[in-house]
Amino acid sequence: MSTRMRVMMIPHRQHQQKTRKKASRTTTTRKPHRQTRACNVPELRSTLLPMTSRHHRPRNHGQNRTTYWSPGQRGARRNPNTSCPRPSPQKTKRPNAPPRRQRQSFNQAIHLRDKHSAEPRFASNLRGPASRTAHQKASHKLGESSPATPMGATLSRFGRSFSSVASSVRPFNPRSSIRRHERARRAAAPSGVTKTVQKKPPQEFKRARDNVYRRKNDPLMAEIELLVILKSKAQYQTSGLRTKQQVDQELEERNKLIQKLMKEKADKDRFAVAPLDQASMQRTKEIITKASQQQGHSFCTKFRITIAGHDLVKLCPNQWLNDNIIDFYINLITEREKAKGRKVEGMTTHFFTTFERNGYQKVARWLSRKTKEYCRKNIMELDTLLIPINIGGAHWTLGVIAPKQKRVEFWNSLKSSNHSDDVRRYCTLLRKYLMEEAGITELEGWTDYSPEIQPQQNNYADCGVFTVKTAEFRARGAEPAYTPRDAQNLRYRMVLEIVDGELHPVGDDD
Amino acid sequence: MEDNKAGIKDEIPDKVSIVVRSQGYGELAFNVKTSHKLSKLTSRWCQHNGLDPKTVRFLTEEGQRLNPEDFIKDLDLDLEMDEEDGLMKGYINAHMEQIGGC
Repeated sequence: MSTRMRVMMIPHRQHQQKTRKKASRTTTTRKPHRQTRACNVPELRSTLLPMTSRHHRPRNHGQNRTTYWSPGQRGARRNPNTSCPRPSPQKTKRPNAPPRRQRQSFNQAIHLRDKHSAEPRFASNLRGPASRTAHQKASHKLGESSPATPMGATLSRFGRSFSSVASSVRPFNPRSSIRRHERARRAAAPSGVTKTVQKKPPQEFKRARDNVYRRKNDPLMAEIELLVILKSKAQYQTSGLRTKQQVDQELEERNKLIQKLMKEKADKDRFAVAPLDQASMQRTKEIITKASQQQGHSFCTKFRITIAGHDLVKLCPNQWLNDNIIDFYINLITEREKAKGRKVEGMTTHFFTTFERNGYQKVARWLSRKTKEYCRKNIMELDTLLIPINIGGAHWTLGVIAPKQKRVEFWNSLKSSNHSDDVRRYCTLLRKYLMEEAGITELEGWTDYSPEIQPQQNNYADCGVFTVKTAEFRARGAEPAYTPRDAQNLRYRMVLEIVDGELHPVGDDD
Repeated sequence: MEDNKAGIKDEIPDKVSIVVRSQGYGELAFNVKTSHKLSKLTSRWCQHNGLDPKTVRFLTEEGQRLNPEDFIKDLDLDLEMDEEDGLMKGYINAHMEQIGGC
C-alpha cells in the first residue's frame, strides 16, 4: 500500500462515519413501515403474510446491511480477535434471507475489468444487469466529474488495497449506490432542502394490482392482497398523494368488494351434493375398510343382487364401477320413484348389450316382466325408462326413454369428439327397441336429446357414478345439476345408500 | 295362464333340469334338486368354464337378476315339461361382469 493511498483513505473514513449516521436515520424512518404491515391486518396475517412478504414487501435490505454489511466493509467495527476483516456473509445470513448472488471468480472479474475499460471499475459493474443499470443511473446523474466518486470511494470499494482487487468483487449492495446518489444530490442541491419521504408514483398501486391479477387469476385473493398493500401504505401515503379520507374511503370500498367476492366464491364453491357429516363419513370409512378386508362378505342383498366386499371397494376413489353397483342403484332409484307413485322403470345393465347383440326377441319380455306387477303392458304409459348402457366393457352411459316428453335421451359423461355420431347411434338403437316394444312402426314427434352441456367427468374413473347420478336426476324429472367435484361425495354417499338399502332424501324435489 | 303358472309353481318337483346359456360358452344342462341353492349349480358351471363366480351374473330369460344364494325352488323360473327325460326344464342366462370407468 502506497503512502498516497493511506493519506487518501483517512478523510474518506470520516466521511463514511457521517454517512452512516444519515443511513441509520433513514432506517428509523423506514422501520415503522415494516411493523405496521405486520399488525395492521391481524386476521389476515396467517394466510396472507407469506405471500405478501415474498411478493409485495418492498425490498428492504436495511436489516442485512446493518448486520453484516457495514461493519466489515467499512472497516470501522472490525473484530480485533480475528484476522478476517469482515464477517463472512454466509455465516451471518438470516435464516429467511433471500439467496445471495454467487461471487464471480477472480478470473471472471479480471476479465470483465480488462474488457470494459482500462481503468478499474466498481465492483457493482461486475454484477448482473440490474445492478449495473442501477449504478449506471447513478453515475449518469452524477456525471463524469462528480465529486461523489472520488478516488477514495473507489479504493474503499475495492477493499483495503489495490492488491486485493479480487476480494473486492462482492455482491452488489444497492444501498451504497443510493447513498452515493443521495450524496451527489445533496451536494448539487442547496442545503436544507433534503426530502426524507419520497412520493410514491401513482402508477405503483395500479401496477401491483395488474401483477397480482396476472399471477393469480383469482380476483378475490388479488383484492385481499391489495387491501393489505393499501393498508400498509396508508400511513405514509397520506402525507403525500392522498388525504386520509381518500385512503379510508378506498379501504372501505375494497372491504366491501372483498365481502362481495367472498360471497360469490362461497356460492360458486358450494357442493351440488352436500358432503357427508362427520359421523357418516366415519361410518363410510369403516365400511370400506371392512369391505377391503373381507372381499367375500355380503353387505347387502336386495333386488336379488348381493353386494359383497369386492363390489363395495369399487366405490373407492378412482375405481371403476361394476354392473352390480349400477344395477343396485338403478333399482334403488326406481323403488323410490315407485313409492312416490311415479311410473319409472330401470333396466339392468345387461339389457342393452343383450338387445344390441341378440336383437329384440331376446329382450322382448324383459320390460313387461318388470311392469307385470302394475298390470301395464305399454311402454308409452311410463314416465321414464332408465337404461344404463355399457360401451365396450369400459364405459358407462345412460339412455333414457321419456314417453311423456317424447324424447330419447343419451347421457354421456365423457363426450368424445364425435359425440353426435354416438348420440345418433345409441338413440337409433333405443328408438328401434321402443318401436318394437310399443308395436308401432313410426315415432312421430320424438326427438333425440343429448344436451351440449352435461356433467362431464374430469378423470377416467367416475363415469359409473355420473351415470347413476344422472339417472337419479332424470328419474325425478330434473336436469342433472352437479359437477365433477361432487363425484367424491357421491361415491361416499353411494356406499351408505347401498349398505342401508335406501336413497338419501333429496332436498329440492319436484 | 296365471292360474296355470301358479299351479306349476305349487307342484315344483324335487328335481329339475336347468340349462345355463351364455354367449360364447354354449349351453350346459344341470339336473339339480330344487332344495339346493343355485350357487351349487352356478359354481359348477363357472368351474366348468374356468371362470371366477364373482364375475358372472345369472339372469332369467326375462331379464331378472338371480341371486346364487337363493334356493332353486324359490326362483321364479319358467319351467316347462321336457318330454325326453321327464324333468321340468328351465333356462337361465349367464352374463359376464361389466365394468366401466372411462
